[in-house]
Amino acid sequence: MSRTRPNLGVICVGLLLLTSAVARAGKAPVPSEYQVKAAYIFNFARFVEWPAGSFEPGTPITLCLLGDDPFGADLEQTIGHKMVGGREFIVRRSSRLQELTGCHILFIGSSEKGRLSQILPSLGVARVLTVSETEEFVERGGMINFSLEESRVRLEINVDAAERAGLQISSKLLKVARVVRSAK
Amino acid sequence: MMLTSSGALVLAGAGFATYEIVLFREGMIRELSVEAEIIGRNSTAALTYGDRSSANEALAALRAEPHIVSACIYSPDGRVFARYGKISGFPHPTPGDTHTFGRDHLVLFRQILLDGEKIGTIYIRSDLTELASRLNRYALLALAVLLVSLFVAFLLSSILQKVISEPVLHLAETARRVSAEKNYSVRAVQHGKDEIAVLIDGFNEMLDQIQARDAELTHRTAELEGANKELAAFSYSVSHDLRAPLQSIDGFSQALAEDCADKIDALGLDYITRVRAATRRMAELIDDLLTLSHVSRGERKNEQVDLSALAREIVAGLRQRDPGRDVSFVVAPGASAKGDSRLLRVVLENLLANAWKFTAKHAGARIEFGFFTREGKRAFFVKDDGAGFDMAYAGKLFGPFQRLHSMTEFEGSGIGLATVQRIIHRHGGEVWAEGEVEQGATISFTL
Repeated sequence: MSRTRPNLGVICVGLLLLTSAVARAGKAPVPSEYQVKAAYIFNFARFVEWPAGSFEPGTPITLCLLGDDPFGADLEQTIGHKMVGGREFIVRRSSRLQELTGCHILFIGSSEKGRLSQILPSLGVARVLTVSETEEFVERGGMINFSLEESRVRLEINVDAAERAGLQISSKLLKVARVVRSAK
Repeated sequence: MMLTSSGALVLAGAGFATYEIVLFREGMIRELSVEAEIIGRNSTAALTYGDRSSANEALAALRAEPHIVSACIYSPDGRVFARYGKISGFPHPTPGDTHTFGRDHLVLFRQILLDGEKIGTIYIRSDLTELASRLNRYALLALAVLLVSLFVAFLLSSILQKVISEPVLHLAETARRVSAEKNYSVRAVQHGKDEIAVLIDGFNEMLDQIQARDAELTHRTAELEGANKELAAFSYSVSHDLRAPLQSIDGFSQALAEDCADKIDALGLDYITRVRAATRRMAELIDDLLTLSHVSRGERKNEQVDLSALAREIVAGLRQRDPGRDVSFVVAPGASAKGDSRLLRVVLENLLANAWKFTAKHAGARIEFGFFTREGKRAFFVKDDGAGFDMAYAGKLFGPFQRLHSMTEFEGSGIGLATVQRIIHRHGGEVWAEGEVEQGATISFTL
């Protein structure tokens, strides 16, 4: 089968993983970029291990959005009530980092690009998986970044950053990403 | 022996081979399943994040297995996501975990699960060359084992042959010789000290006994023959010697009656008549004895004799002698047998004369000569409806000088039936009598 390059046509492969399990009349035939990214974020939880004690038994996975929310309703729609490891997701949004506590995954919107140098260090060694879609996010210490390559959503991962935060990223995920090592 | 052991070995070999194949196939399925599982797990992220090249790489690990012809990973919608191998076409994936054996391949489908959710299917296709090569090796091994075993069996059987079969065969051959040549001096050669030796000893002992008996038998037979000859000679000479004086008595009595008739009174003549009657009777007796001895002595010719014709002749003779009697004779035609015509004539003469004699007491007598089949053999009979006899005395009937009727009822020497019996026996036949008092008698014989 030769590689075709329709508008995000290839991405539906990944998205159908989720939408096929959700009984919905009239599934979205061609997922949008943010539906794909939402699915990807959801699946990070399957390939990342948080250190012991990060979760109380039965507590959900907290996904926080910092800054402008590019997902909108797509996020809740895509994730719905699906679970990872028996845990549901709850989503919190804010434009101020201080309000976002107890996050397991933190998505930093591109609107915060200028403040990255403050945001990232202030997280310190908190056990938070930082995700963004900003250029040079991982080079500057972020953990996972979305980049668009030929209409495909690609991943960039900074393993060291994750390790410092005590997070274990599965090699399977690393294989599908461009791995970057920190300058520090 | 070789055939049975070969057959058994082949069967055993086939059994083991089949077991091996079954085990190997199961092993193949297991191995392939494990490989599918591993690669599936490794490809979860690739599938989740749509990274084809990563999935291709994961499948490429199958290169380590030269028997795997092709493999692919399907996304949940059944489309091929990543592939490996030379074959370009992939079948539609099955919903569950399946495996299928084809003529020359094994195909496996396994679901790829992430956190309990099916995110794809992996397909692996392996050829069966390893199975085939295993079978070949097995077949070669089995053949080698078969040949070696056969060789060993052959050696063993050759050895056993010497120890067991040969003595037994020799014994069988000896037995055959003894029967064929009637040579009882042959003995089986002894051999070793085992059970076969015991058998051979027993056999030889048996031959010893047979030989002894045989010698005794020959001796006895010779004795008996001698005795018989003597007896025959004796009776011959006696009867001959007895005749002469008898002739004298009869002759002189007659002379006395004729020449001195005027000197002897009626009483005297009466006495002389009686004397002559008595001598006549004695002469008859001596004649019968002579016949008896002839029968024992002479040769026995073997020719086809027409008994019907003979019977008719004898009957004619009887009628001639006693024309006044009203007797109906029935002679069955076509009665013929092989034997001595002279002796057989004597038999019929005696039997028919007896029948004639014993029916003299009542008019309208019927005498019959015929034949029938008894136990597949031809039997002849002379039947009359005369005085008959009590079956209780049937045994005495054929004894010489045995008479079941007193002289006043029927005259006779009592030798007739004895003679008949002797002749019949000389012809190798049997003779027997059936009868009822006053109802008649039937004497039957075979030859």
